[in-house]
Amino acid sequence: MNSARSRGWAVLLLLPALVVVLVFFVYPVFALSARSFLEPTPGFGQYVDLVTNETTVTILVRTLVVALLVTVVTLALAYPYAYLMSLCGPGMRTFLLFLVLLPFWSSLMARTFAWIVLLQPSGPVAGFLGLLGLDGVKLLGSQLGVTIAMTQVLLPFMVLPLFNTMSGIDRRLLSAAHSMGASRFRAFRTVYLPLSVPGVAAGSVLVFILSLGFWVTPRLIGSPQQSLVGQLIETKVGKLLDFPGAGAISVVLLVITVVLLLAVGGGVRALVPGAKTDGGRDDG
Amino acid sequence: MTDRSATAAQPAPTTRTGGVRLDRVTKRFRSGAIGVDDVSLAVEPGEFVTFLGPSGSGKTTTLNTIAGFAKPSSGRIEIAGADVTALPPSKRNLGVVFQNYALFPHMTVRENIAFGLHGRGLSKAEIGARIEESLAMVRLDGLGDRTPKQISGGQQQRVALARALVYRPPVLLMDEPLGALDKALRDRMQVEISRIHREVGTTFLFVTHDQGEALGLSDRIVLFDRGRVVQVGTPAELYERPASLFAAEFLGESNVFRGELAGPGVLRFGEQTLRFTGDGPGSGSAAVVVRPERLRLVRAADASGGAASGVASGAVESAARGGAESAARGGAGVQNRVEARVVNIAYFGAFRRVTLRYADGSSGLLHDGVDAPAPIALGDAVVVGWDAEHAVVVPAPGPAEQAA
Repeated sequence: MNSARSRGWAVLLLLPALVVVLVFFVYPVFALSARSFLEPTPGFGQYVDLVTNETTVTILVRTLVVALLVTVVTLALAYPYAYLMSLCGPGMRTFLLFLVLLPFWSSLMARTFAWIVLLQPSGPVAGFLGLLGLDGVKLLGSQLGVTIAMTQVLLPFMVLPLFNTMSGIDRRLLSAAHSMGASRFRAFRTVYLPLSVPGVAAGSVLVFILSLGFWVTPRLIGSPQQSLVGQLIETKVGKLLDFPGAGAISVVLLVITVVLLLAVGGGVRALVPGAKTDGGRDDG
Repeated sequence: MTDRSATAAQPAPTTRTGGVRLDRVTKRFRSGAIGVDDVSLAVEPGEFVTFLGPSGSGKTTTLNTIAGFAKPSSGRIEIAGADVTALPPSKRNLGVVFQNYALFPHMTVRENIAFGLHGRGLSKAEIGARIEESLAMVRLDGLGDRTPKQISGGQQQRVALARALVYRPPVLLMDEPLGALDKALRDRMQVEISRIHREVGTTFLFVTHDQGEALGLSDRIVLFDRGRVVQVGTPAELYERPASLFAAEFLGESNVFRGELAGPGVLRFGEQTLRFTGDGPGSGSAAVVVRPERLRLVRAADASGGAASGVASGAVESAARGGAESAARGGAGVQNRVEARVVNIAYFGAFRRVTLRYADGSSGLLHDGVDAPAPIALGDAVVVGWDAEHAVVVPAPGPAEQAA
């Protein structure tokens, strides 16, 4: 079999997925985006409305802040966890991986309802905060509750890319650093941390982008007064039938996502020469 | 072999640095397995010492205890006169070259070399000068701004050397540093490492399972087997006077004649009496070891030995040549003779490597000069011989113990 022919077969293998993506993703996104530029009159009217509408801007900013917060908290929780996973033996690693993947076994809805129970004023989270002297913190229907729940839901998306990168870091590099007189802290800061940056970037981008589009959790745990962009789009599409308006917000989110991806990709390459964002493994 | 090691044993270092002492070092792993078993060793300042042994013999674990990467279960380690047993690797002031170099992939060559100079109270100018100096030492001038991925394996090896030597540690540890290189490059790097050792005068501890590297590079070789040091000596001592069957068979190739000792300097090998000089075990089972280049073709055996009659004329010529050769080499002929059958002949350019099968079923090797007028042929029955002074006797389990 020659290579040209085998490539032809490979394209054939891609075809089903390609069709699904084109019909159910690319076309709707394109159509919605097109409508945002064409209706009610061709031009940037929808975008002018969007930036001049205070509520929309507030919601967008709030969404970005929540997404950033969730990203930072998941990173802080996931980094040591993934580090431990990359260090421990195969048995312990499987167990830790199992713990991370456990949430995927239940539906997002079920988990969100579970959080409603947990976050109730008389629930365990409030009780724990009470022990720390933080009485009367409003969890349900607040930004705090939404952030806590989203952090839990999105944690695996941070742990897995981090673990992937960290397991590819050669531990002998740390031994080498120690042998040259570097303290544990210096070896971590100058060798391990920079080499784990691709994983940090991959996980952060993933969590941040997923946070931007989160709808179920803020809808059920948050309050309508503090809605996020997902809820805004849902309201525009479901209640106001304002498809062009919803399209404009979607395009803004898309642009933010793409810009972020490019910026982070470029940043990682500048910071870690020769780094690959897939985890930095090098078998060469 | 001996000539090469003699050259390597004449270092002219400018200053000699610290030695290394191991005092009854034992490393027991958590699994209960013993990695290093009661090893004591003294390495002189400036010496080039190779830890040689098969994989799992404890040579790398011993190196790791010296580097501080493994903590000995018991025993004491001294570097440059100071007890470092309890010190972490970062406080031992050693240079370490890792098997796959362990260069920092996110740093340039220059940054890699600069890493160990950090926090040693050197000025910026001094650091810059040291880096350039070590780049020049490993002949990588001009490559300082490349990253490890942009240079070849041999160049990475040089960077690893420069990085480990730039802060002038008293002792340099190398763990199979040439293992990842191809043969030609390995030979070149051996020469380079010898040169650098002579130039810097640092004590080099080199781990390898490659006997060629060990023989060619070392002042002394420490031979490891199953966690223990089985012999320490110069390459020539180890090659020419192996103390055990393991040493004889691991280092170089050998003809091993197992038998029973029958008095001083005499071993009974089947029906025959083999003579050897030098010390050996007093009695019991032992083996006489003869190196292939010491073994000589004395004559072809009688056809009654089982040789095909078709090779008779060739066998006669071989016999004539063998006789002439032994006469040329030292007159009186050889003291020990053994019958053998030729089971394989491989052409090696400078010589033919003849595989022999002896009467007791063991096999051996002989290096046959290629200028021989009528080289021996496959299947020939031959007689090989050697001088007593070229045989070494080592303790060996007898046939009965072998079977058990």
